[in-house]
Amino acid sequence: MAGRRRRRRLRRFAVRVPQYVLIVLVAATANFALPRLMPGNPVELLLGEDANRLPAETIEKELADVGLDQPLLTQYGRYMSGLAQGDLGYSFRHRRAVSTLLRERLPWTILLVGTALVVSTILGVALAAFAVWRRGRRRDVASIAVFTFLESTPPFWIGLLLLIWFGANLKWFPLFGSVSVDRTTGLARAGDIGVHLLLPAATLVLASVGATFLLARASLLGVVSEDYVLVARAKGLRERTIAIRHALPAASLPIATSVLLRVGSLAGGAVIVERVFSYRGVGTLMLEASFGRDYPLLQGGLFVLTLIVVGVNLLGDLLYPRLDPRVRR
Amino acid sequence: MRRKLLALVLGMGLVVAGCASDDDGDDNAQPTPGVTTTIPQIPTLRFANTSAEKNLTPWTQGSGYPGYYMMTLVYDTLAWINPDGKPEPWLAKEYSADPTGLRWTVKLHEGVTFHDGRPLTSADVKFTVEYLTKNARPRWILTNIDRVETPDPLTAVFVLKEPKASFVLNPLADLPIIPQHIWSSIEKPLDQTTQLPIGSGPYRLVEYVENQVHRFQANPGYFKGKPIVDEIVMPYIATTQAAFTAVQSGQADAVSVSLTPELKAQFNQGGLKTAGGSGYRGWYLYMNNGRAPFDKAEFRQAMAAAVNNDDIVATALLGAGATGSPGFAHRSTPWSNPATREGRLDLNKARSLLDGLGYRDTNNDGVREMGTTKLEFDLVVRNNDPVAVRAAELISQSVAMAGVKLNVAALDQTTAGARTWPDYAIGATPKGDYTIALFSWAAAVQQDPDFLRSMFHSSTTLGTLNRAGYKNTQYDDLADQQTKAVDDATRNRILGQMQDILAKDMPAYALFYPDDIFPYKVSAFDRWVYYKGVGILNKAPLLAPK
Amino acid sequence: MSRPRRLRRATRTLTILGGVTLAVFGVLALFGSALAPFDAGERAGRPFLEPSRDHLLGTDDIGHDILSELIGGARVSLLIGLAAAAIAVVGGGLLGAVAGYRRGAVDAVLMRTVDYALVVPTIPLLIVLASYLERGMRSQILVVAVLLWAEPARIVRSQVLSLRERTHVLAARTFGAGAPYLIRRHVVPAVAPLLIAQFVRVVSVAILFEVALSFVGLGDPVRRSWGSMIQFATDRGAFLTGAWKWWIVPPGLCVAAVVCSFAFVGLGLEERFDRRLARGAQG
Repeated sequence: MAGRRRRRRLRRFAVRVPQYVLIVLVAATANFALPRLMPGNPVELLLGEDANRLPAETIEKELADVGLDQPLLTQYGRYMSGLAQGDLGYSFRHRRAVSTLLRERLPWTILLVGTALVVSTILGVALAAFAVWRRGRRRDVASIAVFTFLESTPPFWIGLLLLIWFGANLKWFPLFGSVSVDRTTGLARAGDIGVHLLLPAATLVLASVGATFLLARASLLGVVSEDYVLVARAKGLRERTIAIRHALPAASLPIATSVLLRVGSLAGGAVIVERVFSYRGVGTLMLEASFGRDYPLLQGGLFVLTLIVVGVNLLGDLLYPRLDPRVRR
Repeated sequence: MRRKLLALVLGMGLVVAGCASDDDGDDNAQPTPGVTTTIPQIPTLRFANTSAEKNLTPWTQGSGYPGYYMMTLVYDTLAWINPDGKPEPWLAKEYSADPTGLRWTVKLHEGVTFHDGRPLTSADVKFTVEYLTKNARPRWILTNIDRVETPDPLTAVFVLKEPKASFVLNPLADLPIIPQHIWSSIEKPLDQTTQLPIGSGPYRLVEYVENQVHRFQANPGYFKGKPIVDEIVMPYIATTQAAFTAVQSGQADAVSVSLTPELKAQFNQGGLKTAGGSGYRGWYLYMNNGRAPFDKAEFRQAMAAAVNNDDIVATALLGAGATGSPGFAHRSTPWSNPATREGRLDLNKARSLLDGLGYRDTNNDGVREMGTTKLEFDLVVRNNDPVAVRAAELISQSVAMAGVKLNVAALDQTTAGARTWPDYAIGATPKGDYTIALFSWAAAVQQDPDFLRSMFHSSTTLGTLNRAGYKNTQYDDLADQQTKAVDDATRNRILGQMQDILAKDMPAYALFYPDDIFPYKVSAFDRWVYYKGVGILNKAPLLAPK
Repeated sequence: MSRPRRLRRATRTLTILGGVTLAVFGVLALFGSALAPFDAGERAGRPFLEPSRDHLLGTDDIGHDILSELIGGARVSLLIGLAAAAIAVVGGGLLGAVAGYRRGAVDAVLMRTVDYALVVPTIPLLIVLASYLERGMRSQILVVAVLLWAEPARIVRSQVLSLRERTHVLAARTFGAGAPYLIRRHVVPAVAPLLIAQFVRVVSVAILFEVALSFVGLGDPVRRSWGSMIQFATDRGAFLTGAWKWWIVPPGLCVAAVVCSFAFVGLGLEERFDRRLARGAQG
């Protein structure tokens, strides 16, 4: 039994991993192609907006320095091998390596998105279990309506209202930043980071809990009509016990997969929410890069975010058999 | 953008030097004169910053305000501009030019040290000039300086190639003196993105986290005495409204950006106050003089007459601003020509001018045409200033009443900036693509009359800011004459003639100047002064008066 | 089993609710200029007026009537949503059909691109694309469509692939039926329900994108959309003056109402198609 399971997992691995590698290759290629397909000038991309005012020989020299005078295929090869070594290019506005900048900002975005993901999952699944347990009643229907509505609200708008209310009116939370500028250490600093995290994370949770709820609810509903749940009910087990002991584990597979699949959209929402709260993550960095036309930074940021989402998806795929109760049984 | 005066003739320099030494020892520029009580030391001040500033060296510093004023907390200049816009000695005890105006002698204060304890001497002044000549920055073009002589450690002599009246304004009152012992080993100053700067200023930059905070600590050994505020923290806030909210709710004590006018009353109560005044930063209606139908002065006149700038100030600025003039110069500049100050809506004039040019609305669609030429254009404006976008909408509405259709094209700042150049290339600048645009110039443009030359001179080397693509040889001659004019009266007369020509030819129309309104918390620090046309962040009010 | 039936009835209620809301917004979009108290571009009063009988939601920073702007915004949001969704679904569907029909290299390339488009974080990509392109309604519609074509493409492809092997299609092919005929006769009817559900989803996403882009300053502030209303409100002190109650809340609620209604309608459509598909599979 165990051998077959391992073999199956291996086969899954063998199919999935190359697929994801291909996606990453496509992402890298898109990154390479975007600035070359779009209107605009690679010289500007390299040297900044004022580049055209430089003498022609300076521009030619700079182009040669970075190999932009080479044939496209050579450039592509160099670009890919640089990427393989973690070289995401050089931000001309910050005058620093894109990878360094991203390394500074990513932890904040991961903290924000991670917190929101965990909280919204727990909350969404718990509420869904509760709703299924009392399914069909008026409150269940109302909850579908409410969560669909939440899911439909622009996240930044929720963020703005939270900021106005809890930040400006009640003054419970800081209005900006990911950590206060007072120099604190240890526990105080952790608390400080937590206080700053609360409103943006709450915004993302509110914006994403609806989707988790609706999905968990559908999965749970699919499970409760299955035979073993009926058997459990026939045995006279309490509904709550059935929900927690039987239905929830069985439904956890599609829920977990979908939660991991939602990382992409959550990261996207975080970009805008970061702006509302002046949060110091990748989103703020990319938005500023966008205003300043810092193309290397924009592309680097997009590539790394894509890489993370792909990684999480792969994780979801690999986790799949472990969570599948039929395999476990 | 910020350009300097080009050569001015002999004598001019002496006049300025005379003024400067008159001002020496005059402390009235300080906000609270006369009172002898000691000012209590303030432990910390939180100054919210909405500008994404980088490391504070002359090569990495970003904006003019607040960036330059943050950097000059760390670095000192030889002279410093007072709130009225006049330079006063700073690192220098005194400075003066010889009768030729070619040799400027600068005497340094004794005992000035950099933050690391090393003395600041004339060798550092010489080094700064040489280093900045080699690694030029647009703000400090030093090509007019032939050499710097250092007869002794406290004396630096600038030898110029041509006399320059504004020499005190820039470089003396603008160029930060950098320590030779640090910069002599730095080859790529643009890459100094993380190494914290060492200067001689009243503050040390002790912490800098990109897009998060700049933290300054008072320099106890400052040659003008220890600053009143021990620590200045400048947290970065991405959106201006969140920054205002931070001041309102007490999370910040002041902010680097001017309030939008609707908030003025609200920030003058509950322990808050505002400092400010009429700004020189203005918005101008630019027309591409090389492109039909804007190549005709009558047509440009008609456009200007169809714009209601009084309504823009009253509506978009809620009255907190000043209207501009057809003569381009700000009405409160000393050289402003009274005859060309007022530009008013005159739809009848606009209509008759357009009629005279042959543009009529023959098909009754509300838009005039002549043959196949329909008077419909894009009005380019940048999209990140809500007041400007609204002003563009108002322009489009009032111009429509004269039968010209303007579609507001709100582009991002970079695109809008790149597009607003005339069809012919000036120097090596990019070729633009616009017919009409609402465009802003910084305060500096109205502080120095020589900008009237660079704004409209048809020569590609002198008219570097000629975004209108204007050509008029008579104007060129006058512009060249005013630069060489010996005395103010003569110069202002010539400048007045230039404004007459501009008002007649209307290559661009100065529309309005929003007021600066900077809020701050009184109990945290109440000595802020508005530096005319610039802002409130400045090192001088942070020092105890003598 | 009365519970599922009750649930089905509840879903129907939601669908009807969504449909009615959409109809209302549709009417506003089509006839808004006649229904609104003022023209959306007209300066109807002094700037920054609080709500009153003359201006139920007050006026904005240059005296536009906010209620009238809100009504005008329906047209912009719906137009962007519907146009982007139409392009994404039709374009994506066609690509999917081609991939499924031709298979081989075309399929492989298209599907890897689809995989990429499905995982790439959309809003960051949106920001990247928006900063390359000029701001304007047309390019924004295109960008949104480019971001959302992948899911329809994948759905159509898998349908085409499975149809290809079905007996009646094989039979038709044996009789020499060409691709256009097959697609029209067999593929379109099979995928239409799925695409309609996709269409509904994409409209919602497109509307949300427009609002988000406007908010961060990558939209067109001159276009009187709900997004630009929120942008102007935040830029002109609505936080601090209290004007957010009538200037920021209503446009946000409108966005949520429209998007939510599309979701409700989608819910109903999906359920109906599910049942039909289930019946079809039995038959």
